[in-house]
Amino acid sequence: MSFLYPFYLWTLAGISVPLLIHLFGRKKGKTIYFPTLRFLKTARSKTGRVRKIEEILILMLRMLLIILLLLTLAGPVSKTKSLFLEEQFIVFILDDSFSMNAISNEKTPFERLKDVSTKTLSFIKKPSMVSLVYLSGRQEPFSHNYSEIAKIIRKSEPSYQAGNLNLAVEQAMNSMETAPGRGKKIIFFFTDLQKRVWEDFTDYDFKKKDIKFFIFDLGRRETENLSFKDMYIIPERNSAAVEIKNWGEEKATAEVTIYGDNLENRKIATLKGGDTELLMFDVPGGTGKIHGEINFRDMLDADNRSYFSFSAADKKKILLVSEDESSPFYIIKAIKAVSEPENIEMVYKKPGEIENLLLEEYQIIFIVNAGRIPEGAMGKLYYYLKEGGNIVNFPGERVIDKNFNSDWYVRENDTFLMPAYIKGKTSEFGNPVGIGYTGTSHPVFMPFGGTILEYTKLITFKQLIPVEKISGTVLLETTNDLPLLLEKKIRKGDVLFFTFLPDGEWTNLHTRPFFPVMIRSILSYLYKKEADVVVAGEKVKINIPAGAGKVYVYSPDGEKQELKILTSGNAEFFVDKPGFWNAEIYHRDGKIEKTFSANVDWKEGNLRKAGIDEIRKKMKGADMELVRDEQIEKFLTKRSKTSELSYGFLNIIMLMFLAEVVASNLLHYKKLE
Amino acid sequence: MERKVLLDPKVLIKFSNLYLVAKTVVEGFIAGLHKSAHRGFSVEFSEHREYTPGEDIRYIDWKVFGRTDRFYIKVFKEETNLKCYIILDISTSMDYKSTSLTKLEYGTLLSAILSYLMIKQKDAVGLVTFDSDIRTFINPMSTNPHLHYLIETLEKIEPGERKTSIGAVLNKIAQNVKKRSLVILISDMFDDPALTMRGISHFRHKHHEVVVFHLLDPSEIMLPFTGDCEFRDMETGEKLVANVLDVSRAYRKILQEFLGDIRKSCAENNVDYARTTTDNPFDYFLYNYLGKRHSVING
Repeated sequence: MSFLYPFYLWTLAGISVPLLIHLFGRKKGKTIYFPTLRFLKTARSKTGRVRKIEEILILMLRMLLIILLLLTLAGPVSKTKSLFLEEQFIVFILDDSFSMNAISNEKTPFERLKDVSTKTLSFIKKPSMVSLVYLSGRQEPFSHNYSEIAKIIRKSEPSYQAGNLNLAVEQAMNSMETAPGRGKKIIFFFTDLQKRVWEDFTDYDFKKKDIKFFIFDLGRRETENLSFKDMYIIPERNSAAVEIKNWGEEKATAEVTIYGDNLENRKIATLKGGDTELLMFDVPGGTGKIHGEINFRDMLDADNRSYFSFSAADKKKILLVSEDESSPFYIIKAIKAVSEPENIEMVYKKPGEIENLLLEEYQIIFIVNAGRIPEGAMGKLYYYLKEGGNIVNFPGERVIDKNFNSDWYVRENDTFLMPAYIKGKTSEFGNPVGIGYTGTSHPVFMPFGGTILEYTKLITFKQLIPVEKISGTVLLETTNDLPLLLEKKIRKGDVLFFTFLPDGEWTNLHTRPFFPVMIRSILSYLYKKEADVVVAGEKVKINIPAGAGKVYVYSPDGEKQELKILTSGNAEFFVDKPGFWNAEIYHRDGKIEKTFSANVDWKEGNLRKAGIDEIRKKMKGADMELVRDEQIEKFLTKRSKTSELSYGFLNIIMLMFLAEVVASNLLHYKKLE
Repeated sequence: MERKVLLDPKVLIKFSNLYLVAKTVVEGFIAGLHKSAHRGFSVEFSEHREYTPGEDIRYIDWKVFGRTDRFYIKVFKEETNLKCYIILDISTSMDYKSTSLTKLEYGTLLSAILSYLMIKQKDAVGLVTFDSDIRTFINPMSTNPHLHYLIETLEKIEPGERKTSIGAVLNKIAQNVKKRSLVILISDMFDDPALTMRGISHFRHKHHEVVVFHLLDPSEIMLPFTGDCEFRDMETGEKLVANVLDVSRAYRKILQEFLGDIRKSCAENNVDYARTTTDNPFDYFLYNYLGKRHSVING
């Protein structure tokens, strides 16, 4: 129990009044000379003890009455029930992730968030301080200015991003730990309770943190909801791949349209609840920019549109690295077979020459039977990968396991660049083996669709390089479960690692139509990053070449803003909505244009809610309470009632007062009898 | 019987002459007795006389009528050789009053009235006053000058300064009274009841007839005070602070027990006991007492 007006507690000294009256206030009374005291003495000794007990009981009753009265004046409030008392540091964590836009019958969760959080704010009293932390990373410091905080909340809008609860909790905890004063700490988390947020949330140990955590669940029950999962152009097939997802539980049918320059192409897709569907659309060659729309009325609108830009007209440069010019023969043949010659420039170099090359010029580096890579080249390759470069590696017969494993290990960054270590010598099979597993959901194999097994049926392998300690993903496997193709992502870069050489000594793959198709698919997959696909709600960095002058960026609505070129040689801008963002870089050699396609985080479309057990498990030892949307009003009213105990006290006082009156009168009449 | 206003103690106290008071009371009292069966303390049967119509038929001796078939009236002869000792308690507690008279004043008046009444009936009356010891001792005589002497003594009585010691004093007096006498004790009896009764028994043992007139002040019975009071014992000076409301109920109960014990002890010892308060008119008190006494004697 605590008090709203604790200074009234000083008046508790008032209980001494009846005590003093009892002890010293007894009047001596008039003096009466009486013939004999013998009867009076006996009478007093007989009644005195009982009277004394009765008097003490009444005295205690009166003292209790005064105590209760003074405590009532001090505004007693229950610590366990009432919030918003004393000095507190309160953090509102506001879920402004994209899913808070979900539309149902009434308001969106974010509109409810504004209502509920401002209402909660209205119960907070000075000197408590309030800070705002958004799941998008934004933070407002502690302040007493509640009206200003309410204004900030009302002006807030949900982002297009997924929320980061870990970051928000860290920010909240840090701000409370560094907050001045010793007030109690409370976190109110206003959220739609999206499962994804909690799945991404790393367990946080709240033990000994002495923080009350209230989660206000503003989420809607998920109904039908479709979203774009992915969309990209496959120029070599003159088609666009569109992947859509039905997050809901019910079957949904929707019209999917893609738009490009002079292009409008429709398809009908029917997806069961939880299904993903891949749709292929024909696009004319040279189409560099498309956007798609799912014509479906569901809870989230923005994820029903997708944008993709592709610099199809740009010439691609491929670097071929080998000790001899003949080894990449089949690769060169395959690339030429699937590409327009005017779009491809292939450069052959030996491993020793890598050090002197500007690797950033090349979209892909094919390393075929290259033997050892010089140590100086390895650092360059690492930075190349980190910045978005791609390596396709066929180690081949020259490889020695120990050398390979040490060559591809970058000591200063403690990073092994390959998806797997090699162990021992090349294995030769007595009988050739076929392809047993294909990572069909991988974009490289997606163009094959359901026919991939038909393609791979006749492919055999005679020998392989054995691998161990796999740190990447296996995309292809032999029938006897040995990896054929592995992938590893290093920052923005990609490494594809084949455990065989593409010639007749190792496989018949090169003689099959599957091989050039796969090479085209690999090229397409690795080119894709050229599209500069970004997630709405993030900062985007543009690499500005030396000699550039002004840089402008145009939002999807056509708003123009000039960007500053930073000392790092980059320019940054914030993508606050999905759509095409066009950048113009004015260079001494001419204008360079770049297009960024900004999309919402497709996983945010999943509105499934986390269960209470899952939340408790993640928030170890937290003093936590989950309040459902329909209970919030009641909760706030109930938990903000500061006079609740006063009413109780007043009732007790009334009863005690009655008891005092009855007891005093009974005692009086008893004396009179 | 019609009550005479003159006999009210509040009125009588205004008379400075005690003799006059006694005369007024007794004569008024006797006049009131004309139609009464009471004939005073001398109640010895004397002779029969023939009934005359108009006389009170209550005095017809029906036993004689049964034998003779004639109406005879019983005539009581006055006793002339009765000796009476009036023993008056003058201890400090007797000096208490809440009405117009202190118990001592009331007792003094009562003594004077009784003396007057008895000497007029030719009885000999003596007077003893005491507190913790005997203060005055006057042997009984039945002459008029003796009556004047008695009244003069009574007029001079001042309250004693010591504690009552009734039992011891009665024992002492009993030793000095040789001839069978009527002993009238006028006291508030505020002493150990056992000791008091032992003294009274001493008289009874010597075949004296004992009458106890127990005098109390109305306040002593009702304790009509309010609030916190500091009570001081008039005899010992002892103090006691009490809230009257707190103790009055128990006080009255204890007092009634005390009075009941005294009445019971007196009855057990064949002692006449009459209690009065100082606001009670003398004639009313005497009428009631003598009426009761007469009915007891005549069966």
